[in-house]
Amino acid sequence: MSVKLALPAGDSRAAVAEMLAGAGITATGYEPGSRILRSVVEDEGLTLRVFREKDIPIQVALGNYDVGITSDVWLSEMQVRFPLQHIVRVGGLPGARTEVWLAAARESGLTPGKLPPASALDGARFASELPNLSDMAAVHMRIPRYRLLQLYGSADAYPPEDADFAVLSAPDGAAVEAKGLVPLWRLFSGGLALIANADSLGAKPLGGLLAGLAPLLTGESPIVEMPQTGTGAVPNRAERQYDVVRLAVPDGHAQRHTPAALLAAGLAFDGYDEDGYVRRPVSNVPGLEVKVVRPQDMPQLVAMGMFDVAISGRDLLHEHLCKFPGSPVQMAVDLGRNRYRIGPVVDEAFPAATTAEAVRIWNALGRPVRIASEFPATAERFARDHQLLHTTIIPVAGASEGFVPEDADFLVEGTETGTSIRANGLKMLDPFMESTNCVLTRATPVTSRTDLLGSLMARLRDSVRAPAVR
Amino acid sequence: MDYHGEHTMTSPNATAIRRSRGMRDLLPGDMRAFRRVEDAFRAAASRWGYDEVRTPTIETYSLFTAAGALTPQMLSRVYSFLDWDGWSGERVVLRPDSTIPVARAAAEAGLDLPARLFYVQNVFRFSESDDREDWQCGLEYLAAPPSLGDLEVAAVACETLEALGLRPRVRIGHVGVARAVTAALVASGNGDLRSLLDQVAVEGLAPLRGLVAASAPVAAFIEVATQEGGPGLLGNLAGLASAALPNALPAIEEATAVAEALAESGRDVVVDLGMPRDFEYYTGVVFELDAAGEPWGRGGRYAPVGEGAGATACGLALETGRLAAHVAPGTRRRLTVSIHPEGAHDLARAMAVARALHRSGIAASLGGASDPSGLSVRVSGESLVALTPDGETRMSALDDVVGLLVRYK
Repeated sequence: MSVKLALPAGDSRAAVAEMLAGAGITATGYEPGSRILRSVVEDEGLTLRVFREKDIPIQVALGNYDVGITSDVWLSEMQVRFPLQHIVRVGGLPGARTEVWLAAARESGLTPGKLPPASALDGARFASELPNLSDMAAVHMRIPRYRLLQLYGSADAYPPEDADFAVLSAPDGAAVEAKGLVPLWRLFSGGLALIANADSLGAKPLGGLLAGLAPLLTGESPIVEMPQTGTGAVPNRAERQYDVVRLAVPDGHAQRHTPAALLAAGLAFDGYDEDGYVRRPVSNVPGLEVKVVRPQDMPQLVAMGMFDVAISGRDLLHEHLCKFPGSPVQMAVDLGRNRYRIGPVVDEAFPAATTAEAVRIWNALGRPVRIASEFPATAERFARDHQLLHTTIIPVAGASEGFVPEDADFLVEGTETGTSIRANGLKMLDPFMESTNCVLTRATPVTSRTDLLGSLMARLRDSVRAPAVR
Repeated sequence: MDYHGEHTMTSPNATAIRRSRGMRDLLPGDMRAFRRVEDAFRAAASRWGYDEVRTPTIETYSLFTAAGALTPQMLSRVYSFLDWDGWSGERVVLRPDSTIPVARAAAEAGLDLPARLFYVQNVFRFSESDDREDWQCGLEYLAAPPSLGDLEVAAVACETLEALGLRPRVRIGHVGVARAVTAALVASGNGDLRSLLDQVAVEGLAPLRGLVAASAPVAAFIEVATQEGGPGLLGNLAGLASAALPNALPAIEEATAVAEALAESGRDVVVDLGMPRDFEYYTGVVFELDAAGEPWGRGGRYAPVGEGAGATACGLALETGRLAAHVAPGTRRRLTVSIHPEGAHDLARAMAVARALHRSGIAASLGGASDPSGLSVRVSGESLVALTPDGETRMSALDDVVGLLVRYK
């Protein structure tokens, strides 16, 4: 009986690989730099799988994996909202500790460690990629009518004009201050954790694996401390200005295509290029405010009227509109860069060459078809459009290629060159959309500077008509 | 490749169609009992001048985060999600409570106050017990005058339970007493107000007895306040409050007025000031309805959301699902007469029989299996043969059939 171990991708990978080697556990393919997301160590009866840390508690709770190593922060984020999970935190493991802070902008006038009274916070806006911990903080502070902006990341970019509070991970309060924010309350403190599925503990031979890791276990436990309503100063609360045009430009992978696209329209921002960025680059156009945020968050930000223009992707717009067909966000200009295809991705041994053949096979399975995707609403639309009878959508944070075939029947996934898909023994069936980067606007603008918005759109449209850009 | 074999999820049989976990089907037997409870409640509420309302299943999340509306414990158990308008950032919930939506609806529609409203609807809350959908029969008396509103609401609950064959007991408390006690404890350095109120909301006053060694008068007050007894208990407590907790006196006086009036009107009343209550939500007299050793409903005075400072209301909710389960064994299926036309040429006559029975309030349906009660009518030309537990009767007039079967109604 093979034991399934879920291991983290990203920053923790090197430290965890070293830890496993030190514990005498062979983790073939998990070496730093490896692109392999799944491997089997026959001699030890171990199946390894690499996930984004956020996905590991979910996979272990579902019983898809018996044991996992992940950051406590994602375990707590899940458990504060879903207390019934069949998951056991076996113990802490050595590694960097992470804290989660409730923070405000310096302009708020708040001081570290001093929470304002709830009565001064009616309608306060929270921005976070940790929505469950944020919710708990807001309700414990008894904040009337608070709003939560659930983000993919970059929460520190939001206060003061786009949020009153950010709830964000940081090594400590000093790191929060280094991001230009005031650390008000430490909601969480924890490190790396060894977790196990409760049913697996009772039924599967995990002894060898646990014996290897036992000497490393620490007695440290995560700490979740919810704030109460405070007695501190009443904060200054900022709103967005409507006499400017606000432009969101992306960080992350999408950033590398964006400065050139902007430059083609005669737009260059001090503090934003292919190599790096500051959160608020300086615009060369009077009345144009620029901020760097995650492209995944942009459709919502434009729909809500927080930004007037955003450089995002058609894939992300499609995902947003699948979820919210009535959203006022729209594509104003297709910039035509960052081109890639999205379609169903299956194991290369899957006996179908087309989507139609695959649908026949999936519908004959007699059980729900499991679809893993970073675009869950798009995946749901795909299933509906192709009349898949019974599906389970598995939203994933990343590293999705490793899900097929054990943990999902197929992915709804994008690929630019197909390299990563092939490296993981997968193939794409018929792509159903092509994505490029694009300019998003709101159907009914909220800025009073419609003149500036119009000229900006004209420049961006002209830039893609020019032969040199094509 | 065998793709069935690749499946490793823990619930491989999930393809079977089942209701969502924690939700409730009300099947015919459940509905008969449910309607009995609902009818009893509807009749009692209507007698006291209450009008029925129904609010949407989905409400905005922010309605429930408004100050003091729900505790963090309750808010952490709501079903919240983004609906089609979620692009605006506004989350919605499946209503976890009906009091707040009813008050919201009344305010939004600008209903004249005072307003006596009742509802029969379900609420949704996460529960570890797989019981996440509850039905409630509830009353909201908005802008209810002091004492009169409390009495009225308690009376509707008692009459409903009596109509269902139960002998209700009204357990009365007042949150003002617990507030005065906790304020005194905070003033004497026995903890912070929030923690004490949270503790009292869950466990009642009893755990506070150990905290007051330094304050004998307050300790004595708590000792008496945690006893249960008749309305006379309140008079004795008022005597202690004069010296130990004068701030508790208005609450004791208000509870006394309600308890005595209920007792004098023939209700079984128990004063229980120590019972756990949500002190962020309630503002005055609170009560619980017990019968047959079990609690069936609770209510009290509260400040409705959005009505401004000083607004007050009184409400209660009866646990309709549990009440229905309790009365189900004694709730019979309605007798239905089966009408069997012998041939195609008898269909019109069979319909005429059905219409005649229906007009007399007798349930009747065409064909199918005979009712277990044994009531049926065979239609053959001009001949009508009624089969009852007393035997077979041959007739030709519709009135005769009705006259015979109405005895079994």
